[in-house]
Amino acid sequence: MTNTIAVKAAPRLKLTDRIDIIKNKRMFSLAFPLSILLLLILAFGAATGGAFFRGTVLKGLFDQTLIIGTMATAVSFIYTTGNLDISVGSVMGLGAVAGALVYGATENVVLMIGTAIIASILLMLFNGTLSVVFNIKTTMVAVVVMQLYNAIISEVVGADTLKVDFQLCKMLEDGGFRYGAFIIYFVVCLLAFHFTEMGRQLRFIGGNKKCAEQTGMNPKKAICISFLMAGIGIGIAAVFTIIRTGSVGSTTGNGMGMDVMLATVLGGMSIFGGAKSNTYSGIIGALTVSALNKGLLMLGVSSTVIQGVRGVIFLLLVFLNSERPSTLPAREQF
Amino acid sequence: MAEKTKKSLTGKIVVQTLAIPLITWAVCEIIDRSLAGTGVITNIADVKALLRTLLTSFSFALAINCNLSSGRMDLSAGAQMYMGCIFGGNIALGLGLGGVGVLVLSMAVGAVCGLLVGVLFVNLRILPMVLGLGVSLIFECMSFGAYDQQGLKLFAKPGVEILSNVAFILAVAFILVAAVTYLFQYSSFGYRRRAIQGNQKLASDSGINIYTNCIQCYVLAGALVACAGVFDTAYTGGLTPVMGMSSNTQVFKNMFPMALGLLIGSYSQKPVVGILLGSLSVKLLTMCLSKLAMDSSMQNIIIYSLFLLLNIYRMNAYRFEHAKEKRARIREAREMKAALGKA
Repeated sequence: MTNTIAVKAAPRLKLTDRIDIIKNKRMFSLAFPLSILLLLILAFGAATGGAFFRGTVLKGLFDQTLIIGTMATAVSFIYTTGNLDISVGSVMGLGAVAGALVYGATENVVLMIGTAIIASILLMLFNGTLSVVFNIKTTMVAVVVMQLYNAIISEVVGADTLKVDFQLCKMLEDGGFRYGAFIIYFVVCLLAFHFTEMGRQLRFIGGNKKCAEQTGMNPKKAICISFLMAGIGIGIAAVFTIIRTGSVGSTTGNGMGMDVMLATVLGGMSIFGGAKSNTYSGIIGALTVSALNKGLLMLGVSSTVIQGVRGVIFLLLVFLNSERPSTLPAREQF
Repeated sequence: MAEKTKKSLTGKIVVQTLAIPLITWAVCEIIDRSLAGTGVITNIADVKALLRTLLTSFSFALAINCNLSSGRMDLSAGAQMYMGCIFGGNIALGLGLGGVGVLVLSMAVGAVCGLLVGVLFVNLRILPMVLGLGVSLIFECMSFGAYDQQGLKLFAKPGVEILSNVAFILAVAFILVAAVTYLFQYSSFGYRRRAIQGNQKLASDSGINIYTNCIQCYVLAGALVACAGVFDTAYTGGLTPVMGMSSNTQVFKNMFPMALGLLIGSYSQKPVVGILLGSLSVKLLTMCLSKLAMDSSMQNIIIYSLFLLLNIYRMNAYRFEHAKEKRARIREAREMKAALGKA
């Protein structure tokens, strides 16, 4: 009887409040972007009369996703701590240049892979150091080093391209090296992020840095670790890039930082970091972008219009997936 | 006595404000004279090139500053520039309005684009960087698809020579400095903007409409980027539309003049004049490196290394201040100890 009275007296929740409750559920950040991806695939499948489901199309889709997906998985460690880095494309480009140069000098594929990964790790650690030791905001670091790394790539490569043996690239591409490397990296990231103390610390720091500091955590150390983890992924993406084209040019990696950010946000990752962050958003986002591009192309839409559609869908999904703050969102960058 | 102190303070501020551009010019002059056998600015063509590129950089840096100082990094500013110039410029050329018409209409379209981004931001409340990415994609698509993907061509078009006229460039620069200084420092808009920069929540609680002010900032930034775009197009002859978020490069390129300008402006509390002098310093440096026949990638390596050093200095200036204060305290303590010892 008392319960019935209490239920009757309770105010009815508004629709927006109900939506907010659903959005705040832990699984929402996975379920929502995944549903959108499945919806897109089904819609394009139906619109193309099933052609979208062909093995070659789906394989092409996954191949396109691999580089951006790996990089997006990598940067999720940085985003989790509430930091942003849009220089990852340039880091990847410079890592690929270093790898290709070493291959040109030694013709040793193991050295090439090792150099690309180590160079990327060192560059990311340099970015992290600028942020942690010299207190420069990560976004500002990214803006400066992005231009700097692009200039170094242009200076080193010039108008030519650095070639890597085509047969070797083909062998690595067909031999399942890329899938194997990606799966191993993705699983390691998933475990490190969701099932270790380090992952919990990164999320905690992203959620409330001051509170984390007072709890005894070391944000500077955590940020360095996040840049290190990102560096490994970006190095692997650099190797994928070399394998995919068999050459590295002055424009390798240009604008990729933006694509990675686009994919990460589209996949449901919070740009503010914190407890709701995850490692799988990047791959979901990258798959969504690829599916959208491929599907619209198969429907005969021009690439110019596809970009516009991508923009509209991106803004719509980000709006639906993000919390609406009471004041205007801002972040001190400078 | 008070007047004398005031005068020496003003003199100190003037020296501090002019120090960076003057030192830059002096160093560049020495380097160019000793390595290339020529000065940084030796003829009227150099002056023209400096002024034309300076106005572009100054206008764009001002636009970035409109939002960045309030914690909003607008990555769509470059795309707004393309929209403003391609639509506004082509409409003006179609109507036969000449150079002034191209400038005015481009700025108007740029302002409309800024208004659109501002309204979207206030209503969607997505992080400005993320919103900027989405809007860039849409604006680039629109500016690329329009006018047969030709962009804006000003080369050999009748009536647009005025955009290369030194007197006109100087007049526009003067108007920009005066208007933006008034808006930022002496108008109620600027007062509210500074209050919001201090603390958005407090400003809102004290009755300031943070949403209207934010939209006004976006509109102003839109008009300024379009102005920058028109003078850049007049300098290069044409503006080719871009895709794939390449328009963001314009934003990144003009960060250094803005950052240096804010440092210079901090001495006199005049950010607009500071940004003008910051842009001048960067342009002098670029001209100096060009005279050394350096390729653009090497120029960028030097310029962005300096930008990095500037950032390191800016974010660690307090450490130098602390060290200076510590040294002064130690000196004072030693003097006191010596005085006590004598007594």
